[in-house]
Amino acid sequence: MRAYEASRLDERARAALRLADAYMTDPGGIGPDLRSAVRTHFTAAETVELTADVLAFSLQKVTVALGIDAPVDPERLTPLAFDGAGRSVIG
Amino acid sequence: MCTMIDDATLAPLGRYAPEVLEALEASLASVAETLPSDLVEELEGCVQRTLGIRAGAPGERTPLSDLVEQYVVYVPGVGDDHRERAAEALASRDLSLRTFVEALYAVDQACRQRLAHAQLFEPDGGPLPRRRVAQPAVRPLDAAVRGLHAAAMRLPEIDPVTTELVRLRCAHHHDCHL
Repeated sequence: MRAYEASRLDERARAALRLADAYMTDPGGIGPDLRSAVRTHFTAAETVELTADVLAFSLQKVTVALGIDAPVDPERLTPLAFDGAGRSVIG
Repeated sequence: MCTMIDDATLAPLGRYAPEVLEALEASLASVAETLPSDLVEELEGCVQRTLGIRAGAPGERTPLSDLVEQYVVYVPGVGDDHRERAAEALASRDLSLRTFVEALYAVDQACRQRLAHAQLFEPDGGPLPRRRVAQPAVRPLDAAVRGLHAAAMRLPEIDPVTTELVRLRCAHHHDCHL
């Protein structure tokens, strides 16, 4: 996740990650290169969903800001799933 | 009063993810219902100035504005000092830190959606049409925020691998350990 530009991820995945980065750091600074890359690989509906995904995952900011984002079990990965209604199921 | 929804820049959200737009509206309505109006104004102003939507010099620095700025710019930088000072300021207004941060989440995301869509899509022309006559009952803020999250997760267009990559990138940026 740190070095996705140099990874073997395809250009579509990298465009999605660049959009996520821009949304999180400077949403008003999305420039023509990124806009072109997003339009090349994603439809308008998919583009909206990508921004909505970052909106949803940014709920992490609440737990981080409150200082309550400690891992459920520091020795293991925490299972995470989403039910049919879109609600997260942790653990 | 949160006033960032009647805006043509959110037309793509209304067209392709109307449930998300409705959930975002519901979250902002809950913010307006839960926080005193002067606090909503302070919160919106600080978020908008930090993200570059609103011009003008920042107001007097307060424990709440310090927390808001750090949250907006880089949330891993929010520390115990931010939390303690903000909680103390909110306690005098009978508000919890959690409630304030949930309100901050909704306001921050409404601004980011507006900014991102303004860059990603050509202007649609005209404000969003109001889509209902009667306002729905305002939900508690935590339920409204969870509803917004769930509405976004229900969108069907993006494949699960790309969604997971985006989730991991968000967790990396936010330094979330959950």
